[in-house]
Amino acid sequence: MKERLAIIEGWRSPFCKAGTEFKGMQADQLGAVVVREVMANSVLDYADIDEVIMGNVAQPGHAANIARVIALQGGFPVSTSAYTVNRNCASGMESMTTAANKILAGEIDSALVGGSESMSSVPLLYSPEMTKFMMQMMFAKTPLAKLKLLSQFRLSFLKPVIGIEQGLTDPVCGLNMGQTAEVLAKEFAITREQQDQFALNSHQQAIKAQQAGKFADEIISVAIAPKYQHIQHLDNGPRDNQTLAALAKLRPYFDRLAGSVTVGNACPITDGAVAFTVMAESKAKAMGLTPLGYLADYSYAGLAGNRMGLGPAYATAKLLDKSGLALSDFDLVELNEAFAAQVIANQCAFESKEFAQQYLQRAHALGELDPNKLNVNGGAIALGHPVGATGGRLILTLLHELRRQGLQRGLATLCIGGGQGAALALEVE
Amino acid sequence: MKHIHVQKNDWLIRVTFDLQDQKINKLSSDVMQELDSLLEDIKSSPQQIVSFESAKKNIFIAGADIQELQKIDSPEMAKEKAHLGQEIFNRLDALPQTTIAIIDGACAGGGCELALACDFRLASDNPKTKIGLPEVKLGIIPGWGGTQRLPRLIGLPEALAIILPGKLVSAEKAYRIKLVDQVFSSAQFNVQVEQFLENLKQKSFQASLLKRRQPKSALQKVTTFAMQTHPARLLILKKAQQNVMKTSKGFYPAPLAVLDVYRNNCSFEEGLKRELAAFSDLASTVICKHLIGLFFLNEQVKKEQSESYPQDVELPTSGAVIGAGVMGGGIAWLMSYKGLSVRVKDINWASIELGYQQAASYFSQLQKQRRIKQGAIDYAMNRIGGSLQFTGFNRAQVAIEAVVEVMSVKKQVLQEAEAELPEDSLLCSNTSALSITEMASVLTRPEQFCGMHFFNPVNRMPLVEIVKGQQTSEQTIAKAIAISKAWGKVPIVVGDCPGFLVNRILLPYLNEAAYLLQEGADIEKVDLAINSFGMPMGPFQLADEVGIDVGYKVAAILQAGFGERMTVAPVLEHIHDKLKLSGKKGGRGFYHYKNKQVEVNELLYQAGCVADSKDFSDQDIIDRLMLVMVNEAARCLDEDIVTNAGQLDLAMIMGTGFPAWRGGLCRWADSIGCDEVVKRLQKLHQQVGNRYEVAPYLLKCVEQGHGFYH
Repeated sequence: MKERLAIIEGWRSPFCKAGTEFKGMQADQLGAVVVREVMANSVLDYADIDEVIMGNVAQPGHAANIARVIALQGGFPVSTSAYTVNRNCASGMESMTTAANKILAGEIDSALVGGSESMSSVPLLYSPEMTKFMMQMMFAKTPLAKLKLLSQFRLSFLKPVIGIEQGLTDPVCGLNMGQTAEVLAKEFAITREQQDQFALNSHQQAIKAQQAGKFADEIISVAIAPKYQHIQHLDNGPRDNQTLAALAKLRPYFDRLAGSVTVGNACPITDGAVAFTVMAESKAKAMGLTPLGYLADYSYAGLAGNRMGLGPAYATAKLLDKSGLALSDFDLVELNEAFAAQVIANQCAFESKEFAQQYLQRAHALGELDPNKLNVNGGAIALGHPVGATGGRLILTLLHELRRQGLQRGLATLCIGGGQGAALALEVE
Repeated sequence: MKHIHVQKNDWLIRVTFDLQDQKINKLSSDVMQELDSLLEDIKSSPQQIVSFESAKKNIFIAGADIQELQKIDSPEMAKEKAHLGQEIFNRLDALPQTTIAIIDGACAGGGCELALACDFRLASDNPKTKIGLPEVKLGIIPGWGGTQRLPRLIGLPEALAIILPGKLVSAEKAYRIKLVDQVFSSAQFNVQVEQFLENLKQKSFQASLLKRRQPKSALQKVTTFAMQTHPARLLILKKAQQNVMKTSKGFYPAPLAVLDVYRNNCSFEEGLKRELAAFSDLASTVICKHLIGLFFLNEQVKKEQSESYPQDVELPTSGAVIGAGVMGGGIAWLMSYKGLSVRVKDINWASIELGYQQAASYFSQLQKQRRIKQGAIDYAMNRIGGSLQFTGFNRAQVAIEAVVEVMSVKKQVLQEAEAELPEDSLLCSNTSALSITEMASVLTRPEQFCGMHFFNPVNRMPLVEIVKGQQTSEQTIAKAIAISKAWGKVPIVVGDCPGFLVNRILLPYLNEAAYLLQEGADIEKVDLAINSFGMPMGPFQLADEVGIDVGYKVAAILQAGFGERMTVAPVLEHIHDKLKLSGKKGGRGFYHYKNKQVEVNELLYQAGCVADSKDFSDQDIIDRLMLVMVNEAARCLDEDIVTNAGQLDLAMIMGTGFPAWRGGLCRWADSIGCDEVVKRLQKLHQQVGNRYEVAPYLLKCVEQGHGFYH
């Protein structure tokens, strides 16, 4: 990038497991709360923001171009343009890198970016048979024609298509995300115990961070619609009482016969939203602002859909090449925990020379992912993974942790359903 | 003609109402006369179609002339006027031509009755188009055939739903209930009206319009028929009567008279006679005069305010509330309902939760009345943002403080908030009793600070007391008035004294009720006596509802401010300090509240300061409680706390639910006579004590031989 993107400030909602506290709130509502609070807390005024760009994966039917709906509900005037981006699990990051491109191209000066997802609200759908049946019913004019059609109705038409399951399945390779994790577990011979241990660790780190009040730096409290009886202040995913024994009891979910990926060592589906204000570093300097941090560079990379979990390795390789940085230049790493198996597979791939040579066209390994630098405040296994928002949370959590520890540079990377990876180089000064 | 213009071509007569030198169209007697002679002329004209329309913007015909109504002083005079109107509209009805009312704007009362007498009605979708019969609100009933023509057109249940509450309906609703035959977009109204009139020449087109008024499906036909049977009619009337009794407690005779008109199934002519008789009985009653008086009072206060304060005020789009909770949450609700983005600040999240719940509950009440949809609620609730800091206050154009009634806390909070607010913002306190001037003493912009006292519950009580502190600027008051009006409230400007106007008058009444209890009066009997006077709640019910702790705090502030005559009754101190009862919210006060059951709290009779049971007559109770208010009202007028008796009456009606049909507190006192009031007060002064020392203002009134009103 020819100039760094200044991330002026950012906040997120608590992340709540789907079907819990935020189950009555749609993605636009949740996103709007965060946008409203970001702007209320902002040194900038609504008028200072040129465009709103939000990431969202499920794209709810009632809010086409959800970014626009979020912007208006979040208090933006009608004159502020807005659009939605979708790069599946990286949508929260895509909003920021898209803004970076537009800002550095001189198209806009500043943007509000982020992502929002309500996985509670992903609907059940009518099957194609049912849809066809209802269409024909509408077109049937005479009672006789209707009766004739009715005789063709089968109870099986009523079986719904589960939207969330469909959304988490790669249509090209035909595998569910969990099944792609199984592929990696087999490729890298990752045991069930390794995965469970990793999951336990994620919960413990998250609980530690929560109890230390670290997340309070990044979370805004959300009054829970539609009843408004309570206000949610914390993520509800991390389990204080999680144990290996409890994790060991769970049955493999995606490959019931010979698998090792369970709901315990995978991230839960989750509701949440995040938002930032961004502008060019030079503009922030000219305005005398102190940004939360900077986006120094980024890369996206593609790979086979059935091994999508390795996206971070591919994208990081590209980022290192592009930026001239080495993995050791990064003081902290946030690597999204879609599945424990997938993170461990990346750890293996990062430090493997063979992997680098075979898949990344590199002579040397990327480098070791030091456990002391990796996801130090837990990850998605504990906190959850609202697909459209997670990318933003990684950036937010990483920047705050860099600041807390007085460090300089961090890597935020995640795997993307469909076979992609994203890697962002972030800096605080 | 002076007020009505006529345009003719070979098939059409266009009758246009355009009252000379008036902003609106109304059916005053000279207009009715003009109309009458015009009808005579039209009757023998060869044209096929007659249209009635208006040249005024946003008004078709607003109704009869209310000033003329107010002058009706006998049933005979009422009968004569109404009878003439009935006959004119009968002549309109009987015209050989096809008649049509073209409604683009308000079409109320007599205007609606004129439209009903036409063969067809068409309306514009202009939001100002409102059609209905609001007569009941003025203490009368529709008297020009409206009670007969409306149910014959749209059915008895729909007619009652309009006439009983005196409601006006939108064009869309009017079309749905078949009160109008066609609705056109106001953007192309004139073009479409031309076409419509052209079409009316064809009988087949008229027939298609008439057909729409008929029930469609077999089921609709059956129900329509069933509704017209006598037993169904009685059932409908019975239900309606129950409803009326529930909402008006039977104090208002007009809706009951409406039901009485419908009691018997009768012919149109017979029905007109019944309508005429009922109208004549009502139109010269005191209640009717008071209700019409109130209408004028409202207009007059608006006029007085617009004359006293500058009008060019920019309305805010963002606001802030300091202190969540019931009042804060209510004010936040009002702001967000009116489209403002709202920041709510409190010192703990529990209070902010309470504020959110309050706002959500007001929205859900609106939703139950189908006045708002879920989507709109979601957006509005989302405009409210709670925080423990003053985040977002830098954009708030108006901020209202609603923290606890403790001067030191208020001062600190106001000072903090002022530092965060933009320079030109309006800062207000929602205090119910504390001094605005003293609060202003800690501010750097005291001229931009005033009291804005909302009443609980915020969504139901229309009154807002705008309290003018010593340093408050005129511009600030003007701003507060304009904002309250834009928020649908009735602002009254009052002076800065403990309790301001309404609480200063109301608290002695609550306090006096406690003294009555001490003297051995029965709690329930006192409340019932006051209910029978017409107050929506008795003093003990009210104290429980408001919260004894809240009331006590205000009472203490008043005692500190006014001394002996406001001494808090010892039994209240006992209840508040010793028994620690808080009223309904705590489940126990003067009454026990258990589930839905309410029982008198017998325990209170055993308090040391309460005398043995003693019987008070209803009259005694009413005199003691009402006259103490009248006396204090006189002092308020004397001290210029409020501009005049009219504004005081309006404030009491809007703020305390003082019965509108009595015209207000001062109006009621005048109906007894000031000399009589003074006499009774003097007697009470001797019997009860110094709390009833007659206000000098009253003595002056007697001396000068007038009442509160001249």
